[in-house]
Amino acid sequence: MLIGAIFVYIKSNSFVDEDLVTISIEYWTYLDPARNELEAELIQEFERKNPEVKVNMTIYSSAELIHILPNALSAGRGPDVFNIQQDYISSILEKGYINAINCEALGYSSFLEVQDDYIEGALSGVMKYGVVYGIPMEFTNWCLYINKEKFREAGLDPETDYPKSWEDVVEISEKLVVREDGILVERGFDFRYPQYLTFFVPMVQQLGGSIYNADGNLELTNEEAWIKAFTFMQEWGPLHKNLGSPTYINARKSFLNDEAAMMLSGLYHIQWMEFSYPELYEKDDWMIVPFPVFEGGNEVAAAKYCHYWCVNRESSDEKKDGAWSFIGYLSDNAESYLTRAYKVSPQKSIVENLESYGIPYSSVFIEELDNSEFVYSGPGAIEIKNTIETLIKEVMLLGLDPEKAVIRLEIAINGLSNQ
Amino acid sequence: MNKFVGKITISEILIWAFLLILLAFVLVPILFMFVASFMDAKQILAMPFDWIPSKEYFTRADRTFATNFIKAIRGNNNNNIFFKNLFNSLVVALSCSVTTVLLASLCGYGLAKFKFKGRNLVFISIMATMMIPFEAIMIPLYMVTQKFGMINTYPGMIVPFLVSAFGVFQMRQYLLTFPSEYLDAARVDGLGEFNIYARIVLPNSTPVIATLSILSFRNQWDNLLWPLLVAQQEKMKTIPQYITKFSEEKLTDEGAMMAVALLASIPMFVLFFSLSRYFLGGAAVYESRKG
Amino acid sequence: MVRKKDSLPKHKVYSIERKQAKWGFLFTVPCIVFFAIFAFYPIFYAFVTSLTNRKAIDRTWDFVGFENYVYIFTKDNGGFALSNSVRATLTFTLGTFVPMIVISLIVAVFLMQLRKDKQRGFFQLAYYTPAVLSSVVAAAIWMILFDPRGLVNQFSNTIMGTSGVDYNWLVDSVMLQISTMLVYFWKYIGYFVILFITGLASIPPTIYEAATVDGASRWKCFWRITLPLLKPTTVMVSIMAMLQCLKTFSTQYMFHQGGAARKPIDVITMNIYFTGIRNGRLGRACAMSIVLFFIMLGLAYLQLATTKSAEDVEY
Repeated sequence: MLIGAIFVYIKSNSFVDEDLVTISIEYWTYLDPARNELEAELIQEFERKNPEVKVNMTIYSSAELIHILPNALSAGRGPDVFNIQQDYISSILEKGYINAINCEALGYSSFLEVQDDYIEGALSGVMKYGVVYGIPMEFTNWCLYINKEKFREAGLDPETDYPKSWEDVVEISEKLVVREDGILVERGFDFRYPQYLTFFVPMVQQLGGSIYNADGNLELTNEEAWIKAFTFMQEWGPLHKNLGSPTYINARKSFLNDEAAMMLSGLYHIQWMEFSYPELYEKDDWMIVPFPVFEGGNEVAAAKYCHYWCVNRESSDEKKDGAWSFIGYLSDNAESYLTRAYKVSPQKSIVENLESYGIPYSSVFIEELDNSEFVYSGPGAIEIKNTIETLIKEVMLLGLDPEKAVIRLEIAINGLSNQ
Repeated sequence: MNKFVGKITISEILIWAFLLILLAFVLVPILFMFVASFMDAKQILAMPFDWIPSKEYFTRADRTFATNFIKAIRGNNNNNIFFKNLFNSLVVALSCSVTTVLLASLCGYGLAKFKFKGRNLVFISIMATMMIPFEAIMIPLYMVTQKFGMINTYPGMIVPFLVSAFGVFQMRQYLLTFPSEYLDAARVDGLGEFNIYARIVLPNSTPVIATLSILSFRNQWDNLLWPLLVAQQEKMKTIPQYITKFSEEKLTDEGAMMAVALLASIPMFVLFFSLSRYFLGGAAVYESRKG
Repeated sequence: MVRKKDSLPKHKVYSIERKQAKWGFLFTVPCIVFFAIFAFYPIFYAFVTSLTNRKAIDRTWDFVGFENYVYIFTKDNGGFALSNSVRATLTFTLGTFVPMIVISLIVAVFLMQLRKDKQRGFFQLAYYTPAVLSSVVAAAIWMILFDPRGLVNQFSNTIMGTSGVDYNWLVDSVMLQISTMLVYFWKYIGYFVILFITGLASIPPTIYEAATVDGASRWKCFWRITLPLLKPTTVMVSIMAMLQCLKTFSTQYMFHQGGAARKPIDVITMNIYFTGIRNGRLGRACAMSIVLFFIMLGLAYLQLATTKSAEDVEY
């Protein structure tokens, strides 16, 4: 094993030497097999076309990247180009660590042209005082994946009985769960736990509450709605109905393993299914339906979120130009991102023609867009996300009173809005 | 007399029962790791658990007995970073154990066999660092490492663990019992002080060196916290990080998880069973502080 | 062996002792430098940082006096108060090291009763095996075992004579704490057994022989001879175990990553990690580090004090 390790090490360290290179760009991105593979190819092509530029791509797991990046940037050791998830961008933007976009290097003649290329709101996550600081790589909204076979096994007809409301989700899950000897073995549905801004806040919005007021400022509105939503989660959890729990195996994994009948995810998951569970994918016995809405609630779908490409403000001008033209090159290949990695760029040309690419169920995702807000990514987004995570875990697992949870959340949000 | 024998038997039975129950408790999780690395996720969590991997698993066309292991090595990114991470772990653990032995023996020798002004102060100060928990200084250390640009480098991963206070202590205790006559004889022969250390003290301290190097190898092999901070790039990560990341990722199934756990443990198992006497001796050397 | 002449200039009038003293000091210099840089400087740096409002994301910061200390002792730190961490750490420490010391002592005494050395060697080796696994591997195995469908829950049902009860090993705050203790106990029991065996082995057998001749029962032997003579070992081992438990991190971290609630198992080290690294509040995290340092120092003082008295005991 040692010899093998040394061999691999030597192999990975032998690179081709290049005389022409004058600008070397460091690109940090997150782990995402199909896209990483595509980008490696695009980088090669980009380097061929621009022999003076060399792009060095470093891949992190997404959980790590969001912690490492702010540290690296503040230490003045950040990469030249990176991607970052929308909710993590504001802290970096506030500190002035990233650069406004360079339209020319991107291949546009004016900012209006850039704006015109993207769907409404796609640039809002990287906008500050009207200046745009990044280019969206992809955006995601979630819908409900359903394993039809599981429905039939439970005596349900997936085409008509699929859940439309959260009340349905509970009711149907009760029928779908398999308990062996009292122990939960298969789940009907389970949430995507750490991503509370993406699914939980919209659930609250369905009930009329929110984390910001009409002016867009941080404020916990409509406590009743929050209490109801927290109570719903508590009922769902292992202390009550025991339909799911953050401590159980990730619902997406269980879905692929045939152990959960429903889960929430974006369009890209179709490809993951194809890649990691071809049996389920090829059986074609699955479908995708809209994000459920509380009975009588507002029609709010799961929040959509972008990943942006940004450029380090402290890189040299040369590198910045190279970086923007690199980003321009990648974003020109939005179609490959879609067909090869199922990444939907929020470029109008892609979104408007999504159905023409023949990706199954893409219409469901598109229809949801109208009811979907971009995820909250203003100041304090991460703190709110972490606080909600703490509270949901305590409500579901430790039996914290939902009313107390709401009070704690309110204190946290007030603290943030006063800063 | 009969009564006496009977008593022994009963107590012996009780002793054996107790020891065997503890043995089961200790070994079952390890045995579980072994068998589960040949199972798929469903069988691993089957109720009741079947200790023998099912035939179905082996006979399915898309699988071999090594499927989980291949997944574990490839990683979810198919980039085989496992080997690079394994290599990193070996580099870090080996470097730390070598430097620990060298520096600790040098210092321990100085403290045990020489009388100089401030010797006790040096000894007590070094012992006092044992009371500084690594967790209490990891953030300043991280800031310093970052300042020196040692993030994502081997030096950054190794330097804070070049030597341990415990190692100095062990070496000193051992060398206190080292016969001074040998050293004096060497001096009479005209051997220089450093040569005495290198040619007489070191070669005659093999047991404690073995124990010490194994212990520091093990500690670094197990270290998660520091690499988590300084080894941020995938190619610089260590095995504990690889496992942590592997378990965080969305596609990892339990079988592959156990396979990676098993693979990561093999180097330590090999070391343990081939050098068990020094492992078990490690505790004994600690006890020798009583003199 | 090739002999080399001492290269030191001989005409200088050094006494042998002084020359040697110089060498002795020189030998310790590398370690002194190392510990100065990597132990004393960081703890000083931690203290200085604890007096600032430094955040990971910021480049500038101000001195704020003892504000961070006031904060960590009075505020709830976003639901993860230091007081809760101290509670979690002390609960874990007590809950782990007391059973560990008692059981490893019993096991060591039992192992000494075995008739064959080979049997004793086997048990020692087997008990020590989990200590060889890295903590991360241990946590990965136990995470699966603690699933409601896992072996631990199946076994709990068998033992309790129940069927289909989910004992919530990773959910319930008490069970969650027991889970972390169980993993730690499993991992280090072998290590402490060996420490006790070494202690027991150093008790001269003649003492027992004399006692047996006097007609003392085994039970009496244990209470009157073994235990008092083992006192130094016990004291030392238990304080060492205690210090180790205070530093626990990986088990709790893995459990948290696996979805468990953080509050019940938010030991001080984990709080430092989350406050400083995840949330980037370096000043605050350093203040916690200093508090942990003083807790350790207090216990270390206890260790030194008791070890001193322990060393005085003669057989």
